[in-house]
Amino acid sequence: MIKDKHMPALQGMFPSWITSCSSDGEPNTTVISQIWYVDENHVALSFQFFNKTKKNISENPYAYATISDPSTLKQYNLELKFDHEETEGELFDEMDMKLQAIASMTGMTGIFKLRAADVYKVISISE
Amino acid sequence: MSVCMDKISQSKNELENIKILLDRKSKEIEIIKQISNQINKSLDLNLIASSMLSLMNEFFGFKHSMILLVSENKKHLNVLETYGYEKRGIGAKVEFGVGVIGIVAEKKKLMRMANLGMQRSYMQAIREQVQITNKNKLQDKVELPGLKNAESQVAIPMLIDNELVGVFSVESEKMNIFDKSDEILIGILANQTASALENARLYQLEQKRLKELNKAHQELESLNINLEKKVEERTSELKTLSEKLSKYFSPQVYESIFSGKLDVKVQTKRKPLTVFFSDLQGFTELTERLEPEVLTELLTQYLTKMSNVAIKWGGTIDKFIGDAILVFFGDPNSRGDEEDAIACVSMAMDMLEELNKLRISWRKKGLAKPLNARMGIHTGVCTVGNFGSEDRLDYTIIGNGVNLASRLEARAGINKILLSEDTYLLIRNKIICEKKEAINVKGISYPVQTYEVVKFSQENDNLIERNIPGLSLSIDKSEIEDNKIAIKVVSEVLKDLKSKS
Repeated sequence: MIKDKHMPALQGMFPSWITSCSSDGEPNTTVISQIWYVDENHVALSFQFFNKTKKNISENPYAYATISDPSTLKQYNLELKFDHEETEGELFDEMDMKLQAIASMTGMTGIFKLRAADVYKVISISE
Repeated sequence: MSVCMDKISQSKNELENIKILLDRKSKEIEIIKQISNQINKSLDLNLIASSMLSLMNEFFGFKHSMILLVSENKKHLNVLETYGYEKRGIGAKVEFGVGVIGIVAEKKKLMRMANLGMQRSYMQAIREQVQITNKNKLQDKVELPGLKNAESQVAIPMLIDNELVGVFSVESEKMNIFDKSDEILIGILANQTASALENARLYQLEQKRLKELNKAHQELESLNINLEKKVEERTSELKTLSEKLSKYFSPQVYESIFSGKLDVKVQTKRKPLTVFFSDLQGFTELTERLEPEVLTELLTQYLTKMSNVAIKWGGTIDKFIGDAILVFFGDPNSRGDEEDAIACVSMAMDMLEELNKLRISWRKKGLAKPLNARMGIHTGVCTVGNFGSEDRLDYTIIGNGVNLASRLEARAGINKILLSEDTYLLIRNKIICEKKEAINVKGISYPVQTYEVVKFSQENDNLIERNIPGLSLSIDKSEIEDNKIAIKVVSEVLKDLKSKS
């Protein structure tokens, strides 16, 4: 489902948008730094702080994301469904490493911590 | 037909793709070859690093890169070489776990960071939020070597057998540095460089150790020389000391002690010994007439000569008591009872001869009254060894045998050697003796038969020697060149003596 042409948009160079919805139907849209490529049918979001997105997803697993290719500024819309969370393994380590690198540069080692990699199934991609 | 054309064009495409891939692989191999060649040429750490960095720019267009090495304590990295920075920044420190490079070092995994500027701003925003609620807990921001406005960074661990040697880092103000497909190639090159650097490091370490070893070796050598000198000094001190000590011991006893054969502690044993005792007749009288200095010289001369004779025959000089000498044979070295007894009697005869010579020399010096000796020898079982206390030991003999030798000496004629029967029985085959009276000795229940030494069995008949107070006669017939003159001399002496009487 995710093709090579989508890859530049998943490098985290441009911020992405993610929209979730609470159980009583109230939507919430927020900016996140990166949506991570897992495999052609999955992407991941980093879970660092408990926020509204996290709360909404726990009530309603569907979400909607917009990613941008930094070189063409082309936007893609992804329909997602929360699948599972990972607290160890290759994906978690890779995300954790980057987070730690940035956090340590700004003197926030230990405060800014990856709690989990939330893996979503990609239902559809549209331009 | 069109299906066929399609297939041909598809195959052509595939072929084209394979060719592109092949070209790419060939180029990769060429790059590996070139970089490997360059970095393996040298054993200089900085030269290897700088070649690698400039080659990476040449092949991949890495405008800003650096190599950091793990410190000895393995807790941080130090910048070894940089490329494309305003300041070279050599030696700058990066803690493990800090920044992209620090994290890569800690996790030993490649990391590519894009969008660094935004991520830093994001993190900064959070930091400010956290600081409002939680002032004390935050660490200071860390200054890291590299571009301040870097947008992307790739850091590659340099590994040998999964052991971290250093980190190779590339930065760019642009968004993306290199293709994901180049990752493997760059990884290989980083590890190649790691090997070259490690070799160089080991070489330098080896050189340093060699230098240290040489230094240590030199130190050791000079220490050895000093030590040898000290040992020599001590040895010569000991030698001097032991030479001084040797004067107080019999040479045999001295040798036994210093060669470790005889322990210096209280221990005695019973052994058959031949004991010799001699005394100078009229010496006590002489002491009253002579100046102490002259007396000392006289006595020293006498005892030195006698000692030399005793040593020559292998006797153990037990002690000097004034002018008296006690010598024994059979300890610490024995050649058998008979040999010891013969040696002892031979020594006594030799001593008499020496005394005769001394007497002549003394007379020349103006000593009117000649000195005469008496000697006694007995063979019997005595107790020999170290006697005394723990602090002061005397190597000596005790027992009736010693007393008897002393008694025999007292009963001996002037310049005569008196033997007990026990000694006589051991020497009679070699030495001619004259039987004398039996004497009673205190402590011995039976009378002791005595013998006086006359001469060796095969003694030279050419020699006539007589010594009586006032007369010392020594004629060696073999030495006389003109017998008539000799007879004339003796006749004149006789005539003179007769006229005086």
